[in-house]
Amino acid sequence: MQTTANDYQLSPSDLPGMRAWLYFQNMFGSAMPPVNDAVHQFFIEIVSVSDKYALITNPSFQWVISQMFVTLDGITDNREISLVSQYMDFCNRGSITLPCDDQDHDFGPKDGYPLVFTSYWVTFLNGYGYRWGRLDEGGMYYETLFPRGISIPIVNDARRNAINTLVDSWRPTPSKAFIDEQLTPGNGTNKQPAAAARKKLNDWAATNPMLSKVIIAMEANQRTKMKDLIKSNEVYNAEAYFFIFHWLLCFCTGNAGDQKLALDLISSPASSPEYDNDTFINQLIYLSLMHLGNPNGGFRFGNETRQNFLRLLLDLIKTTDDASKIIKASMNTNLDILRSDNAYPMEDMYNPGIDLDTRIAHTVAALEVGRRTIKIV
Amino acid sequence: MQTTNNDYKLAAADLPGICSWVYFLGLCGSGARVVDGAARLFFLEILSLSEGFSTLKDPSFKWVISQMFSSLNSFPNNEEMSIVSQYMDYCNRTSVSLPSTDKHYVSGSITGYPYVFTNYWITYLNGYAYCWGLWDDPDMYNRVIFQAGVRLPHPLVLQSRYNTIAKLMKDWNPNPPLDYIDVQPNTGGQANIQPATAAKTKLEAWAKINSMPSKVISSMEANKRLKMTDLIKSDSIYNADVYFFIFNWLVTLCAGNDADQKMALAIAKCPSSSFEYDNDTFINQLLYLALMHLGNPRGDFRFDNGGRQKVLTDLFAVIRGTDEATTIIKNSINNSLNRLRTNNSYPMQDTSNPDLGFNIRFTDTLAALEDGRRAVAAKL
Repeated sequence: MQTTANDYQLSPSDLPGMRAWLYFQNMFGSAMPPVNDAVHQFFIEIVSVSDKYALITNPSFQWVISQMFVTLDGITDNREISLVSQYMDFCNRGSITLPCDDQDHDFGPKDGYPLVFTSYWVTFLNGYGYRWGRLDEGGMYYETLFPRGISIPIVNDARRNAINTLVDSWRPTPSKAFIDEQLTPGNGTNKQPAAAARKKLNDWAATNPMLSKVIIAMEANQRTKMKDLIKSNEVYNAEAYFFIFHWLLCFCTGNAGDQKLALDLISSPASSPEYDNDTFINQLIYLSLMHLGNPNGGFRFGNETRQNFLRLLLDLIKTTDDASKIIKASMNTNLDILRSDNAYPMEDMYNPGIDLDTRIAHTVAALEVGRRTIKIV
Repeated sequence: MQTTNNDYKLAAADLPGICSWVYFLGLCGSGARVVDGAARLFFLEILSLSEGFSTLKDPSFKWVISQMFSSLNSFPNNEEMSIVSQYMDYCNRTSVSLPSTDKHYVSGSITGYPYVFTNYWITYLNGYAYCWGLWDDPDMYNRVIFQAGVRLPHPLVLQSRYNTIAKLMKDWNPNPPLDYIDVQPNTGGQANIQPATAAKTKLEAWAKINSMPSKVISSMEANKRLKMTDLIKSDSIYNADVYFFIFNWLVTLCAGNDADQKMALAIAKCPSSSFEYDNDTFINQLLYLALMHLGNPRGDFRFDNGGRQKVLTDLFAVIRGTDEATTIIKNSINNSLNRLRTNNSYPMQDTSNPDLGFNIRFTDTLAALEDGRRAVAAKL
């Protein structure tokens, strides 16, 4: 596994991407209940992950996400089926209708849209639209627009280029083995290509255990990274522990072994002068909040933003294993303190007179001890 | 007096009901010293009070309010007089006018209201309304609406009394007993004055014979006083829940008679010293603890600064007394509000005691109040 010097540094711009990743894992992780129409949903959600991926600068998160796309790209016809899935959604959105061409109506082009309808497939690729109106109403003030439906994930360059090449070769005529291009517009004409795409997608999903393959490989990478993090002989700072907090949240969506490791880690004793006989997770969240609010740090979040940070994460965590329950309880406790005390944890109502830098140093030390007590097999 | 395990534990849901109780006491308590129209005011305000009661969970507050309703219900004809009082208010504020019968005008009905005026009593029960306009206008766009005035106390406060009043309303529709209600079938001019005056005469005569509402208020205040005496004298060790309860009960005690106000003053002014606030008073320590209790992230309220301020401003807004105890309490509330406004973390952090942690200050304040309470108890 490649690591880099900045492997464990998160910046504010990483957080939305991390949340999109957490949302994705809380849908498809091994611990989550089966998703209805899972393969189709997977192809929808990887587009969102990809959009937010563009915001992520942290190499570790970039690595685990891009590796997932590499795994996906190793599966037969994954690119074609990705397009089939998107084309099905496009067709299901509704029928394409042509402008009225009688003597009472007029129509014309709309900027950015082809004026000529070729097929549903070409409309999926390029869009289609026109302006129109009644001749006696003095203008074409109505617009009928069918925006294009294709969206190619950007995460993995090789896969993106390959899909672009595929699309070029399928323009304007796609492979009939995958796409019913449907040349006829009008009410109800969308149903036939949508049904054909649905059948193709279902047949492919039945013969290719794509989802489990991709998720299992991704979770193996995640696990390796987590073990490396815990076992490392490096001395971590607040940045690294803030990273670990996020990695830990994602980790809880993994298999039973992952959840057990997560539970061991968060439950390990971690005592500081401020919080004696406490646990790793409580110290971890305390340090994360100090890190987020540190006026000399990279985030410098105000109280509301610190609260919002926790709330947004809490909304995304759907796991119900013991580790997740404990993590959520600790987050909620910290939210209560943030609400009650605007200065928390820049000042600590339970530890007055101990400055922020000292408490950060104490908490980092407590986490270092806690981390080293975990036995990794 | 019955007490229960949860007797002194207030929840966030109790606070609006307590405010409506304080508001009621400020108007109708012995401390308000209202003589003219006291019975009318009492019957009017118990309706809002019964609504506030419906949200209360605390057994002690529920007990003192429901006991007052029980006491009221022991007076003959109290239910009838409740209706008479409402009807008097209704007539005083409502002068019914009929639509013009001039040939240039037309009128019509409005959905949900009777279109035919019968009398003031029926209008009080059902309302009355019409729309009207010039006959050659495209629409009858003017609307005249007389809303119904009848209100029933919330059944939760005393179901049997609610049932009796509801039955009376039914039995008196459309024809009430004439010895209680002047139905007044006429409109226009000063027609509303006659039934209002008749109701006032009836109500005042009843109030005089029955010493109302002073008898009910005195009985309620005796219960309140008894509870406060119990609270102060108890050998139990109190926690913050109980002291927050005492703070609220103390505010209500000030609305009582001279003896109540004297007791409230003795409690509020009692010396109470903590490590943090030496040579201070019981009321200041009580408010300090109340705010720590409200903000405690490990407590039940977990109010942020805005929520803590709201508790005080809501209460402050309904305290009407001008006695010495009330003045001292209001000053202490204002001082606390000023601190909350200038320090968002107060009292989770205390700029006057920057080196003392929340838990220590919490415990110290509790101890100071326990000492103060025992000092007051010795004098009661």
